[in-house]
Amino acid sequence: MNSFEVVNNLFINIFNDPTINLLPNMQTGDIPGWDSFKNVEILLACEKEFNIRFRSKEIDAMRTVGDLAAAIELKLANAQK
Amino acid sequence: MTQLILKQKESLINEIFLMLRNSKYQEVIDLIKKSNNSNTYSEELVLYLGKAMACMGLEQQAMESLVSYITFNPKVNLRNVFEELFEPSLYKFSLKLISEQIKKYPLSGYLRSQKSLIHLRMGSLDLSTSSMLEKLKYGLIDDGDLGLLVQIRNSYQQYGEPPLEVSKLLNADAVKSIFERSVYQKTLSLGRDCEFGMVQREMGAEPISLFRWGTLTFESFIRLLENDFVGFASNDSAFLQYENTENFDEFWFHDGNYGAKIHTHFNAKNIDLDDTYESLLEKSKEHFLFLVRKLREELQDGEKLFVYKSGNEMSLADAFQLSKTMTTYGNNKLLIVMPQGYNSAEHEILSESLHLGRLSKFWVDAQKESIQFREWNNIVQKSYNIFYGKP
Repeated sequence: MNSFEVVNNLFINIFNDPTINLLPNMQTGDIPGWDSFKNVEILLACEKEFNIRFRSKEIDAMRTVGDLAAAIELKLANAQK
Repeated sequence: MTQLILKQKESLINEIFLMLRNSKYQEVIDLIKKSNNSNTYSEELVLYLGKAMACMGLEQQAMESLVSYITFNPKVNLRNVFEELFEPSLYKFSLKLISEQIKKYPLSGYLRSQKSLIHLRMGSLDLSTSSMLEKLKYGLIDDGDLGLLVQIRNSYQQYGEPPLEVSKLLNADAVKSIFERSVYQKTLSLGRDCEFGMVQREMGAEPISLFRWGTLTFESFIRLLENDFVGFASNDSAFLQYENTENFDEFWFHDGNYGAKIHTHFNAKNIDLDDTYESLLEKSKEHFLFLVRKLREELQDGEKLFVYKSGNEMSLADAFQLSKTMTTYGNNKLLIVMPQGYNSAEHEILSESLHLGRLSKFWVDAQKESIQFREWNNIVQKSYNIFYGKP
């Protein structure tokens, strides 16, 4: 499973909605109940799932789910080096 | 069996990636054609086939392949195509494809942005500007275009006065609004309540920060900063309290060490069935400790405009004390907003890192309708432009 698919599963758990099917350009507000509070929950879930830590600048640069997945991929790739 | 097929598909895609990176375009075409009738065939292969053909100069065939790929799912695949083709050797081909696709999707803002971006990369500043003007004409310009607009503006700055068309673009209300809203992505609310958080929301920014939706006294805030947040949201100090009033129906997070009170947004409607007070408290502590970490980094980075709303007239001594405490972390810029007192000046510069702003009045009873958005915006824009220049 790639990072995007894992993130999709995390969203399913967080929003308790098995029908969620993320698109890369989705952003805060595109799912009912998705607000800035939920963003913290999402980021924490990603940190735990992928065993990574986001820096503040990385978080600020994220606008979409695609950005989140890309940030995760980059951190995982850097961790492997 | 399905798992095996998925692995084979993944392996094929990886192989194609490597071949494309090594410019082995004919090999890519051969490999994809070979997999056409097998289990490993997937929609993505049509994209890579198109790219390989484009790289070999087989433009007509590339167009056909890429157009058929886009048709599978235009909403997603249009972007996939142009992200995949975004390299200098394919700029001219991409522009041809964009022209074709614009006929099919005339209201696609994305296609016009890509056209503008490619022209910019090719050094055709006037054509880049024209594409954005076209996008503006159709009401398609949005916050996502900020980066491109900044590049266009910066490209002309070396010439002094920008040409007429560029001025027309940059002075359009929609574009000025984008630049103004972008400032709020770089602001950070330090409380003392949620009013500035609502202003950020109104301007399209939803930053996550510790005190955007919270409050604590000025003295406690200074102490928190001086203590480097030690003891905040600890096991001994953190607790939740449910508030059910006219304005609020949720658990509030409290920190007993610093007297902080912050929204959690947890209420009976959105908590899990098996949640308990203890589980909600744990979630809240985790949530706010994450935000402490973030705020600490932001203070160290010193790249944000920190905005602190003071409920009443703050003395200059207090204002400088807060500014000084913040600069022990990093080169931080602070805007303190107060109600109009005897001094009716809207905006004052106190130092290189400290500004004061004054509003005619703050919001009343936490009602969004009573917020003086225009005044807030004037002060924030002024402060930002002085501290950081144009967005």
